[in-house]
Amino acid sequence: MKKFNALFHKEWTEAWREKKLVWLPAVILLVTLLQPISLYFMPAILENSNNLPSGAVIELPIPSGNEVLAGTLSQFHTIGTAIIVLACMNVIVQERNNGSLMQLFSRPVHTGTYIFSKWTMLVLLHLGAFTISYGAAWYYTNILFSDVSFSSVWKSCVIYCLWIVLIITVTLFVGTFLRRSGGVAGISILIAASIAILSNIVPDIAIYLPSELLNLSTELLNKNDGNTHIGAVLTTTVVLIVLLLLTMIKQFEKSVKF
Amino acid sequence: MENIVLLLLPIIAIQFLLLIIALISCIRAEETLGPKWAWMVIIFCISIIGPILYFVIGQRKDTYK
Repeated sequence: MKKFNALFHKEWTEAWREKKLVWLPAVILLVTLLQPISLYFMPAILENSNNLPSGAVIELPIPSGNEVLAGTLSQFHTIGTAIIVLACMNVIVQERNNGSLMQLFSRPVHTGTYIFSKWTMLVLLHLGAFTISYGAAWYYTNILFSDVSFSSVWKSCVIYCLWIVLIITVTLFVGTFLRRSGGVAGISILIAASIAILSNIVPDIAIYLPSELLNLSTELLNKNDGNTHIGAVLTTTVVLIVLLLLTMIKQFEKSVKF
Repeated sequence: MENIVLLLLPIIAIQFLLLIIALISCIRAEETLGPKWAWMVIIFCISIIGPILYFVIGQRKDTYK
């Protein structure tokens, strides 16, 4: 526990030194806030674009607050996933390449403690940033569009957070195998994309795949009732996260023994 | 009109914050991956994406602390 605390503390100081503590929340906040605001200004933007023929009439229905928040989530799903992968790709690879890993493991440190300290720090940072940004987007939606009930917002937030945890775990997992950060980012995004493609190809198992998490959280926003297959997705995602963590620790143990 | 400015204020503030922090960290860095002046141009000219690019791939962190 003492070692975990020391490593955990080191992770936070390092994140501060790289300014990850500042830029990551700022970027996530920007991505989520832009959606409600740009939707609000969409009529004005269209009006001022001068490549429309004169006399063109565009009637846009005003979206409800639920639809706007759902749109924010799916906007975050594409850009946010890439940002999370970019932010996590360097974590293990860098320490392996500059030799600090060798120095660390010449002391009696278990690989599980090392991986777990990194994982906990990344999860806390990302979930904190996402929750704050989602809250801000909710606030904006309430002001600009119609009110969205808090109960459906926090449920969708919690469910979507699982996807973020999964993406962080996948990126760390790939990071224990490869030695180049570009490769780590590429393969992690490939894995995330293939989950989505798989759910399109085989719709029968789609309700068990983690890509269903986005649909679930947007559904929760649109109608406020509980979904029947919510348990299936949650179980597979949690099992997947735990399995990835365990394999990662085992695999990492092999690679740091010299 | 005032309404619009108030709405956009947080976004402009965050963008400005990103720019300033990236610039300060770039100036204070002993070494960056590639020429430093190029990074300053990128941070300054490409909004939002520029600072992120610098933070993700521009920083050189191979000194052991």
